[in-house]
Amino acid sequence: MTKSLHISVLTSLVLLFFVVSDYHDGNLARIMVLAIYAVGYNLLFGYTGLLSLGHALFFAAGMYGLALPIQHLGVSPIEAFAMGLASAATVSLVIGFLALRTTGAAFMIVTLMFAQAGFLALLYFGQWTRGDEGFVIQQADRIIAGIDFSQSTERYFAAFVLFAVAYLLIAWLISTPFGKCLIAIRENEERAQMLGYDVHRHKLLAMLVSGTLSGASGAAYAFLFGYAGATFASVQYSILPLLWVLLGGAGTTIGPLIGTAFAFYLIDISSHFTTAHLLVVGLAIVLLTLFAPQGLAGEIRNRLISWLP
Amino acid sequence: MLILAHQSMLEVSNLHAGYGKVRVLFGLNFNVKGGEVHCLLGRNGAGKSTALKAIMGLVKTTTGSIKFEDSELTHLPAHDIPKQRIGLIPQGRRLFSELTVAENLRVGLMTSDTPERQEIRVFELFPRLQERLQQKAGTLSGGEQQMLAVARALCLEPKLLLLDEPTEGLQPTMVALITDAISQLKNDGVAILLVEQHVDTVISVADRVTFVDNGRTVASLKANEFEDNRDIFSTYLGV
Repeated sequence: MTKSLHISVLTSLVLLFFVVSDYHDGNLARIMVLAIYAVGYNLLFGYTGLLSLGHALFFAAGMYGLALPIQHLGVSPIEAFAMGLASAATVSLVIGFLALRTTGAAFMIVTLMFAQAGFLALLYFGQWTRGDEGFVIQQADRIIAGIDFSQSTERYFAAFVLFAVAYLLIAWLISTPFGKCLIAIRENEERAQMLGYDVHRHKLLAMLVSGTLSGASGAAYAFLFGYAGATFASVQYSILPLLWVLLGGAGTTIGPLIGTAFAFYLIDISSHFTTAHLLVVGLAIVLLTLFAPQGLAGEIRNRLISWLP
Repeated sequence: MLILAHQSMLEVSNLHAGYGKVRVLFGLNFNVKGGEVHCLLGRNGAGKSTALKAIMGLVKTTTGSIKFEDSELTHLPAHDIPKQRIGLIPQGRRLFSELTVAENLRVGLMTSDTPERQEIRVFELFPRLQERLQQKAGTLSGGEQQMLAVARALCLEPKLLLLDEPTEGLQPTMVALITDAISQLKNDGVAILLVEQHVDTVISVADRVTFVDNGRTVASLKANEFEDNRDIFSTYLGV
């Protein structure tokens, strides 16, 4: 059942490319890349129960880990992507090591502070990062083996492949003993410890995977959409994945994709009618909190399909 | 399991412990012998649950010693203590409520050296759990949740099991099931340290009782001394 669902989700994403207009193809590519960020965030928040307000730092670490070497060192895109992942993994490991000494509200504040420090560092070193203004990655630097990833078709399927890898990785991870232990930690940390699990080590590993996936999303965003800017390291980008995961359903495999798509189109459609589109998002969150507190996928699981992963 | 009865398995000496600056235990002393049911009795706030938490490393020990089979536990990190084959069933059960019964047991069995044997043992003891495998733990009845809590602790094949008020809030039939399970575990050679408020339950299963008041050991009785010393139960439990 679960496997069929995963195949259906991924097949639908492939088929959508041929059905919808170019405008929506572009949107869906962006949604899939951002959904990787949400998938990564969901591992830490939805499955492990750790509420981070500093994930923009990991997203930016991946983004700048890829963009700066391309821009200043002329590194090839594949090498730069590996650097983006390594950068996000290193940052998440270091921040995790320090921040996991705290719990609850203190963990939120510490992660937020680290992310703000990272954001300010990007502004401070503006001569390389170009700060808020950011910089464009040239089309010539977005070609791998003759495939131009600035073109909509190539970009869509690159986003799809990356999303599919992240989605299936988390679906698999959650079914392993490691994944079950993360859920046990979320449910009752003390009990997990009493069953002999090293809770700190498990949380640190969750932080590493979550941060690296967030970084992969940042690197993919910079590469596929050709832009890196400090805005992506701002607090807003730490709150967005939380929002997407809450809307879609924390602790569900498909929730991050649903939440990202829902929020993206809510803003897209409402911005045609009003400039106060964030007010509409806020209203949607209030309504969801009242009528679907488990998020869209979470409510579907609770009310209709109990086996939904 | 080869357990030498009458040999001290757990030795708690002059234990001082507490939560931050709040001290709860002020020199607690008792021991648990292999294969016995030893009960800690005392009023609410006497320090019984804190003693269990201190044994499991969940509460910081300031001075004193906790020895399990001659190994000092006070210096071990909390997650290493269950590996000594000590299991805790906390007050209020504290299951992984969003996981199914099967998943709860799986989480317990993942750290076991003999998962198949323990699984069989668990279902022998609590056949009802086998009928509830795919049910979420949070939706079980109170008695079934307690069975699952005991079952999950048994996954580690403990030599010593710490139970914190296992019959709290259960209906009489469930209390009987849990006390039967305690007796069966004792017969299997598992030493049990029980914190319990129901005097009748204590009298029916305990081999020894240590009375705790204000974080100190104040009296100790063997099973054959219970009837002649009912007044001690009244003094320290107010019953």
